[in-house]
Amino acid sequence: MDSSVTREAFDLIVLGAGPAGSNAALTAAAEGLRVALIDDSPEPGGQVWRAPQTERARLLSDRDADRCAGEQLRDAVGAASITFYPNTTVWSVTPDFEVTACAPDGAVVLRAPRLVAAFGAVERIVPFPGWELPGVFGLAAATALMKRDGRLPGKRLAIAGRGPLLVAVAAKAIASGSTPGIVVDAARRGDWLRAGAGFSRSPVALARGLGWTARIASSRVQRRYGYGVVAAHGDGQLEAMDIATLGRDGVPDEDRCHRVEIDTLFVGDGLSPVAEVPRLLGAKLHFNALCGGFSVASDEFGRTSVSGLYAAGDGAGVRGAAMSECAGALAGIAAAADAGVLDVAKGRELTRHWTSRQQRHAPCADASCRLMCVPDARLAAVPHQTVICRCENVTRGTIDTAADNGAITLDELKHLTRLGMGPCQGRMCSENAAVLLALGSVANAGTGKVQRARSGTLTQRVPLKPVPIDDLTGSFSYDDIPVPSPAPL
Amino acid sequence: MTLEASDAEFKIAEWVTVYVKGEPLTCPVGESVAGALLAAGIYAFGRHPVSGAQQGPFCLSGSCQACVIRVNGKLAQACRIAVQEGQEITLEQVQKTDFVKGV
Repeated sequence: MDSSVTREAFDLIVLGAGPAGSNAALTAAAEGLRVALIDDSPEPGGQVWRAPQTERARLLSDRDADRCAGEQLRDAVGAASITFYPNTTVWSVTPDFEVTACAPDGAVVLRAPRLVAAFGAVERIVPFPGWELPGVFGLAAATALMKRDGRLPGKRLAIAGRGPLLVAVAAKAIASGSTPGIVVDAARRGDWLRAGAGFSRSPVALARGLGWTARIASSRVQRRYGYGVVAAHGDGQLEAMDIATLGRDGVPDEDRCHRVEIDTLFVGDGLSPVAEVPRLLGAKLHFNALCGGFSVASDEFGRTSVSGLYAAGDGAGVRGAAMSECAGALAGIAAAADAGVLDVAKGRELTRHWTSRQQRHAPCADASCRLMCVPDARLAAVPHQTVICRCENVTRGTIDTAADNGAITLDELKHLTRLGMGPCQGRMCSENAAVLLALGSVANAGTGKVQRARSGTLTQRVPLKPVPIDDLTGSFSYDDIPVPSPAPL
Repeated sequence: MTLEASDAEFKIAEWVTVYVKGEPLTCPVGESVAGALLAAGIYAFGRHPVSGAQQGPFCLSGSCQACVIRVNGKLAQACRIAVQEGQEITLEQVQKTDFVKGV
């Protein structure tokens, strides 16, 4: 039964092979630590530097900056003495850092005295009636499809949401031959101009952003500023969406709403940290709206409140790829130093290099994060019949009732409504639900400020991801169980 | 200059054939099962286990689990696995009991 289980011990296990995780692994391995790097993708790169898997994706991304950064990273990981576990889904981590995962060839059980958690971010989407229709996708879904497969589905495309990803997706969709009919941007022109000051501190990022903006402008794409999607319609599949102007407070004006016929919609409203491993292990968190919600409390090297556990990248608090590289490298430095293998002078030099780079990119990251923030008032305007938890079909109205009935925290909400108990385990809904719950509490109190932080986070349990039973049982057969012969009567 | 997509430029691509509910579907080597189905206009992957409504893939990055289907009889996230020659893809309602999940 144990034949399909791989067991191995390392000096450091890194969870997630995006910009943060890969750089943590590279830095630690360079100092001589035996490093395992685990990711559920076929190659390192994470979401942002996802490797192309088709000929078409390779041709399309030939000179793309993300592709180049990804190739550099993949070459570096390939050349380093790092044991990379591709297509491997981690579903359990114990307090003594035993990591259990499903790999294509069976179970993998790894152990190390130190662990870097760098599982990145998950997309947040402001819900609207009909968003559960086939044909409505997250905005990051578009980048995943373009980077991995090199093509987008659909004949009448719309791209909607907020933040730099919106512009990147729209520009890349045009370049890939799938020109959207309309780009619906929650930000106004003024919001972008204000962000420009922060972007200008990272000239490379600014140039890319301006390039994307120019491509959208030079195409025939209709770009709406200060608009949001308020409903999707269709019989079993997306056929149209309603868009409305958003007020200064982010609230859609239902009187200035119109219908657009589309068959495919990519919509996204920023990112939230996937801090599931730190949460599972009981690390201290702190609420940071700018970084997408509850982030992992740590020192500047990513050392968390749990000894031996480091958190880096968007999974510790959303800051983007450039910042994640730095945070990952710093976590790798700390892991090597804490393992006693890092020369002090060299450590100081490395730290100086990565922290100065971090400081350079910080204003740009702040500007990006601000564009991704969803005003509480925008969620307050979500209609009552809207599904919030897609897996368990829990609506806004059900959440409001739970708040009326005294639910304050997400765990209480889960207890009362099943929100977060479906296959996605709250990844797609918990941030929205937390705000709605806080709004409900405020409504009950009749006064006061919305305190999203009071809703807390869902308690994290294993399995971290759904696991097919076959993968758990392996070659197990009931016939293999030794059954003692029954006692004589 | 950025490459604009046109079929002519992608003639070098190799193709594989998968079977969706028995019907052959030709797709580029390496493509994700979800990407191949979507490109063929198949947006509904099954029925929602709670509401019974048509459900399709959503995040395509491994989080939402809405694209879970049976490939060669085994549950798989369609956004995470690649098409392979001769693959049998069944689109049907995924039962809640098909998952072991955290509660």
